[in-house]
Amino acid sequence: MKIFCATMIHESNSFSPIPTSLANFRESVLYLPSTGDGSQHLGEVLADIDHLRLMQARGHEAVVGLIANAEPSAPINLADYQVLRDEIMANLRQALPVDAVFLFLHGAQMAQGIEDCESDLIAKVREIVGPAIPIAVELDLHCNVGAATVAQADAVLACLEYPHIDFEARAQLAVDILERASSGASKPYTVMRRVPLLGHFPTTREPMKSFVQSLRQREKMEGSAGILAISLCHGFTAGDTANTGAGVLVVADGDRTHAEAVAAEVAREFWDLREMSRPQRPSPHEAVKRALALASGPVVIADATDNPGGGAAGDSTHLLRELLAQQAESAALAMIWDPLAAQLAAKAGVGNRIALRLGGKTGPASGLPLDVEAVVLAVNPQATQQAQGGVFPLGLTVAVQVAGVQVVINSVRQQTFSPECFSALGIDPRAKRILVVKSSQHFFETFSPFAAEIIYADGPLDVPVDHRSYPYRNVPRPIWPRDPTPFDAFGITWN
Amino acid sequence: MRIYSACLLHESNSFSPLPTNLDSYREYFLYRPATGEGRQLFDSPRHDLALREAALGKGHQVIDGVYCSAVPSAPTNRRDYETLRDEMMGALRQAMPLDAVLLFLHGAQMAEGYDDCEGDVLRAARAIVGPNIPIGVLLDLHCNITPEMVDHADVIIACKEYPHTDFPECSENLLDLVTRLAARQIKPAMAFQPLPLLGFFHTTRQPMRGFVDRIKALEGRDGILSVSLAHGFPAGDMAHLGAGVLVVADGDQERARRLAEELGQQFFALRQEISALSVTAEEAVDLALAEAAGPVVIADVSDNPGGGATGDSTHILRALLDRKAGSAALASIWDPVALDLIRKAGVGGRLALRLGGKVGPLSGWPLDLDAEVVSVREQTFQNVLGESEDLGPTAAIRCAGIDIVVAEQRVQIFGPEVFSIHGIEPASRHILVVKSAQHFHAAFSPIARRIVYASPPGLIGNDFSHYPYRKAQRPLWPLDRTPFAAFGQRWE
Repeated sequence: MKIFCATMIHESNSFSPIPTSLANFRESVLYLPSTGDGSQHLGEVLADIDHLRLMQARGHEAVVGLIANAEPSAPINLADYQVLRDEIMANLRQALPVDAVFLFLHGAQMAQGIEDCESDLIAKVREIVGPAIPIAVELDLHCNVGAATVAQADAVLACLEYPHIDFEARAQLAVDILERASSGASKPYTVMRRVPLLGHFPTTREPMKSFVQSLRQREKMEGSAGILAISLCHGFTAGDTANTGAGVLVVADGDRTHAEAVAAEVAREFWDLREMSRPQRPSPHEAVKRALALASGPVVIADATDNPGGGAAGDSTHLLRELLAQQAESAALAMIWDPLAAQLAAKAGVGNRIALRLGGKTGPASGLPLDVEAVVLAVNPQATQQAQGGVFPLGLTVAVQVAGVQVVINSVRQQTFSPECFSALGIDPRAKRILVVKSSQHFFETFSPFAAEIIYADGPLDVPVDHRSYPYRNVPRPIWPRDPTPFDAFGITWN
Repeated sequence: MRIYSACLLHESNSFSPLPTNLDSYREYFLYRPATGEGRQLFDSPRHDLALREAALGKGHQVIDGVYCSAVPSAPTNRRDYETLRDEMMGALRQAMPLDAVLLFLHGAQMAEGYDDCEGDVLRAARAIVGPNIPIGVLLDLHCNITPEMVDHADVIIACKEYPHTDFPECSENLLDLVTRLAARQIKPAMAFQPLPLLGFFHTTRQPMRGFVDRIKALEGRDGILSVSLAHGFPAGDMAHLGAGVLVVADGDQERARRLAEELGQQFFALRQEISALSVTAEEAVDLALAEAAGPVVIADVSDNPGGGATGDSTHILRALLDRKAGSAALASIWDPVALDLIRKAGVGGRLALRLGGKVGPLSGWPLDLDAEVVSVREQTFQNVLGESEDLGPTAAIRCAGIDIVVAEQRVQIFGPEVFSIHGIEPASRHILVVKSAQHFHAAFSPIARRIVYASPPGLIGNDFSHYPYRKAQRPLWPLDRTPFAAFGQRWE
């Protein structure tokens, strides 16, 4: 089978202060086959997947088109989005004829003037390949899926785990579906059920953990009944679109009524878990107080509302301010995105003291900068961290000591995936009492094995930092938890 | 003649939050003879090369030592300063035998452990060349001259103009004296009269203009070879901080001493009239708005990167926004991260931007702006004393009618090109704000209807009373009230 693969990933945050252009992709991953630019990314592991290797291992011929991935930020400008989209179209035309198409997309990508890039892209792919060639789409579970995505693609599925440790397993499932469709053994389609729900649903904890496990079993058990894949869309709450919200995707073959029923049932189960899925988040003050009260460490505090991986700046000072105010000792924080402070600290040099204005430099959600006396502990001109199978650059990164807190300051905006963000600067995260990470949940995979406790901290309340306070204009209402239940939405009553 | 030439230029601000290391020189100007690093910098004219060019122009054989220059900031760390000095001395040792040594130094350079880098360099150079080979030194007039400098050099000349438009001319004069000394045609005797005086003294206005002209008229007559006014560098906190007068006479030390003393008293007597006066940010904007027509150029004296300030303070911009100044343009705010966000938003894009105020408390708080991207340039040039200086990438954004130039590099604004490259016609604006204390004057005065010097809180403001001096010897005017005694004289 000859499979055309393309990757376009950007989680677009309508409220992010970080603008997006092609340059943001160039800073992360951008391979343009038509020019050969960025060919070093070909064969690189991105989100645990190397499409070329994956397809070849299964005996297929893979034609790899665009590979584009940028750190979450504001919707991209229209012209640059069109460059990415048109590249995929050109790559695909060049690859024809193909037996199948596999697209690895985010599911929450926006451009200025296009609120659903995935639907826009998939419709154009369909135009090119025609109705007979199967198209499978793999999404991040933080997706706001449009009706056109489901209508134009044959199979749409998302990863099930948050942290997203199962991208590769889900890609394998998508290829299973494509193989059977291409051979004519099945005619897959996808149904979607929307759930009027906004929230944050880590699958590492109950009841989400068991729920996801049950969906995986159900996929297996119902295979004979034509159910090929069941996915939850957690929604991406910072994307202000008409598709924003949770949902369920069922890929099926044959009996549509049964597939609709399964989707409706799973949607109701998801809805019923909503209260328990919502983490109880203490304020920055409370989170630090609680961490200090615990007898043993390391206590990991997740700065969930300043996660660069969701489009936040990654330079907010709320938790650092609390650590200093409560005179925390043996604490470390990774990372404050502040290229200027990193540069000044590097110039001051290791062992030297410097008056540093730190963080709070991108916008109101960043809080005010902190003016601190810092001693430079370490300078790493090209620190990296490994995450999701790939190696990510952190840029010029320094560690400074501010009172009892060791702060890692980096230059390439990125969430804290791994303890390497500490160890690359000579800080032993296992020896600390408190670790603060700028991440909502992806840190969990690598930090939980040695964390004595994990606290998900809330952000500031005076500026919009999450779905409770975002100034939505397009999100369909009613939606939980913004509107009181019971209410009617998507043709049914939710209570 | 066979002449060794080198330069070491850094105006060190004891109070600057910006650390200085070898990279700070590399970012601006660094030539290292041992490795050849930076050789291409000789290809275009630069003011740091004035002395070298003068020597080459007269057909001398020039042996190049280290040439290095950094944008003013905090004193250099010890290791990197010693590296530069030792490389400079190593090249001097290798260059022997020589007829003369020409050094272009700043006069207000400090390093960790060295309050007087020039004195240190000159002592080391003298130890290498011995007493008979002439050492000539060119200084910036913002120098704090020390006895050590005077002891180890044969001829010291500081530039006379502020803005410093006369480095080429001073270089010619220095070369002339040093070569005549090497040929045993003259016997320079130097005398330095320190003054208990702090200030910034613009030579563009009276009575300082006339004083400089009178001093120039003394040169080349009655055995007076050269007269320099050291203005001092008020942000260099060291024992010898302050202004002074340096006279070089031919063979007559007493004559040099008497003239230096006499001119010193005259300089001091002018202090009230020649000290740069300035107003607050709010007063400056009010004064500008009260003018019927523009452009009124407001100089942000306190945030001049050319004096070691950060160039990212928000005080005047905040005053412009608060007073809805409109028809105003400001250059520039040093904010590399904001520049990158602007670039990503793209020309014509809008973004919520937190701008400036990012280095330290004296930068003021950052401003949260709703900005439109007007223009982005990956290369920007400005004319600096007749030479083209690369300012690096800059962008212009518009906010409430005010155009703001945002820069990736920390730069002092010398000329209006930084506005016009972004399509901002400087002559058409009612208010132009520049981050510069005085060097802007040369290029902006022809288009300015009025110039207002503003001194909001900052690192290099005209109000020295808040500088946290620890080493400066007192008394010093205007920190201390006259009359007082200092340097064995009475100062009224």
